[in-house]
Amino acid sequence: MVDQPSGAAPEEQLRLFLEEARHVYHDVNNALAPVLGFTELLLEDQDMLAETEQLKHYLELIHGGAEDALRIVGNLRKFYRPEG
Amino acid sequence: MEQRLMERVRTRPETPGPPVPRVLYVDDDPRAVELFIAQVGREFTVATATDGPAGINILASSEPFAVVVSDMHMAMMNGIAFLSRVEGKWPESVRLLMTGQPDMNTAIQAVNEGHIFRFLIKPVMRGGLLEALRAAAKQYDLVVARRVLLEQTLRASIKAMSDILALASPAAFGRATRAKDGISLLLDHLKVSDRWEAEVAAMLSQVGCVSLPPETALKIYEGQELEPAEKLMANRLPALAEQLVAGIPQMGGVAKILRYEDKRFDGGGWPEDRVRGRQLPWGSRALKILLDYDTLVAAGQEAQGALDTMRDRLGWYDPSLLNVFAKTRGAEKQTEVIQELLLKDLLPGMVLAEDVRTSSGMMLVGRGAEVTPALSERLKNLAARANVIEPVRVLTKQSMRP
Repeated sequence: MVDQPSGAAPEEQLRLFLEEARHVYHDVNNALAPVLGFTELLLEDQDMLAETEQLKHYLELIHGGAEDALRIVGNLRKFYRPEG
Repeated sequence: MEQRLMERVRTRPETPGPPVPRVLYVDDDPRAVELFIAQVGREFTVATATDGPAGINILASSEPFAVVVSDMHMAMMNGIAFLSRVEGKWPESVRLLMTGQPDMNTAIQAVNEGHIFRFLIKPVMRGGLLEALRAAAKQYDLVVARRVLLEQTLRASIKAMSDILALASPAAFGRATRAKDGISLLLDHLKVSDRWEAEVAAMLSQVGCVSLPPETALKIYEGQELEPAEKLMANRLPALAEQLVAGIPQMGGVAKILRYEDKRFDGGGWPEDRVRGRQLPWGSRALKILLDYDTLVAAGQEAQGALDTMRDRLGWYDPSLLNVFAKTRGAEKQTEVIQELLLKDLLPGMVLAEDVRTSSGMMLVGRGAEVTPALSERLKNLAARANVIEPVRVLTKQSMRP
C-alpha cells in the first residue's frame, strides 16, 4: 500500500504509481480467477446448475472475488483524486 | 471449509481403468483452492494445502504425487522455494508454478531453481489447466516407468546370473548364499540402510568359480589345501567376477567390491596393488571375513575355533568388523529353526542346512543354498535318476512359519 502519493516529487509519484499498478495487476488477476473460473464451469456444465447448495456456494465465491477486485482497483483512486 | 474440501476430494467418482493421477495443489487463497478442485477434481485425485510447509507434510506422509502445483506468492514460503524443496526430496513428481503476476524474473527463477515443467498464469481456465496436468502426469509416468524398468532389468539380470551359478555349481552357489546371509546379518547389526551393493556383491562373489575345473572348485568349497597351479587359478577368481559384472550399468560399486573380496586388510594378497585398510570397500572387507570363515568351517572347524584362527591371522581382517562378525555368529541361530524334510516338501525360501548328496556320495546341492523354483525343479529331476539321501535338514526362517 502506498500512502500520501501527493506529497512526493513527480518522478517519485510515477515510481510509486507503477509499483502500485504491479500489485493491482497481481491482486486483480487473483481476485478474478474464481469469477472467471466458476462462471466458466457453470456455463459449460448445465448439471451443476441443478445442484442448488453447491451452486449457491460457487456464487458466493464468485461474488467474493468480484468484491475483492473492486476493492483492489479502488486503491488506485488516490492517484487521480489525491484530495478526496 | 477444510472439511468441505476433503469431502469433495473423497466424493470424486471412481472410474474403472488406469489409476487416477494424484495431484497436490498448494495456494494460500481458499477460493483458488476450491476453484482448482472444481476444475480438475473429476479427472485427478486432488489433495490441497494452504502453505508450503503443510504441502511438504502431505508429501511426506502419503503416497507419491504425480504432479505438484504451487501458487507463487505465499506468505510462509514462496512457490519457487517450495517447489525446489519438492524437487530435492521427491524428484519424480512433476512441478508446475501458477502466478497472478508473470514477470521475467519469476519465470527465470522458476525454471532455474524450481526446474518446473509448466508456468501457468492466473486466471487459469479449465481447458488450459487440464491440458497442463495431463502433460505433467504423462511426463511422470515416463520417468517412473523408466526407473522401474531399469531396476527390474538389473534385479532380474543379477537373479539370472545367480540362478545359473546355482545350477552350474551348487557348491559355489551355497557358499555365495552363506556369504550373502552373513552380509545381511552384519548390515542388520550395524543398522546400515544402504545395503544393495554389498548384498549383490556377496551373491555374485563366487561367479568366477565357473572357470574352475570341478575338482578344484570342490577343494575350495571343502577347505582343502590347493596345488600351486590351483592357487593361481583361485587368485584369479575375484578379477573374473569383477570382469563379469563390470559391463553392467550401475554395477561399478559391486565390481569394485568383487575385485577386492579376497584382499587382506593390511594390503597383502590379491590383486597386488597398494589398496589397503579402509581404502578397501566395506563389502570387500566383510566378504573376506565371511568367505574365510566359510572355508574354515567347511574344512571341519567349529565356529569358535574358526573365529580363533581368524583372530590369530594378524593383519588379515578389519579388526572392528571381525568383532561385529563374531557377535552376529551368536545371534544367527535364534532366528531360524531346523527341520528335516523330504525333497518333495521343500518350499521356496527355505535354506539347506546340509549338503544334498546321492547315496554314492556325489554332492547335488551345497548347504546354504536357498530353495528357489529352479533349484527345486533340479532336485526333483535328479531324485528321479539317482538315490538321493532323504530327509534333508533345512533352515526355516521364523517369519516363514505359518
